[in-house]
Amino acid sequence: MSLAVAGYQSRVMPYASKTSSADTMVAPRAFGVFDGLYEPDYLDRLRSSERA
Amino acid sequence: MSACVLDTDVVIAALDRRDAHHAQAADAITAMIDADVELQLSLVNYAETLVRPAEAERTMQAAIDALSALGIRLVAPTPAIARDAARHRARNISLADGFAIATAHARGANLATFDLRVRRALPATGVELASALA
Repeated sequence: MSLAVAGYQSRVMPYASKTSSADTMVAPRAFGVFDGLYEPDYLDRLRSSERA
Repeated sequence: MSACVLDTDVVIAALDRRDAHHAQAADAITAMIDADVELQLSLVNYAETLVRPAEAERTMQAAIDALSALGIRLVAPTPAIARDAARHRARNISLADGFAIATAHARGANLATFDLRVRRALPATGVELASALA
């Protein structure tokens, strides 16, 4: 697991273009900030452990 | 302004670039932001999203910052939403998914979810699937 340095810049550009320059600096970190932090079955396991 | 409640799986997919639905979630959220759709998240689903990041302060802060950057509005459950969520549990979906549906219903919003059980349950709840994910 690691934090992504540059997230999903091409996908957030439409969002960034509608916001202030300050938000433009923040938006690239909004998508894809994690690189495998959540296991594929994270939600199922979380909810199973809640029931245990 | 229309609104869309995000289910936990969509939020996680947006945050984690290894998630199988990452591109789809990022595209859908970007499209909704462009269309001035207000993104909402129940505090129950917010907490579910944060359990894994909360294991380290660095990842916790990264998750909080990312959700803030997306402009997601956090919605506290009301007693009526809690009662509605409890009723949805009978639809063979998790209680957290029930909160997502109940929040969307209470706020007149659509729901963004990848969960097939939740999608199958939607017609009976009066909540529509977000068109960005349809």
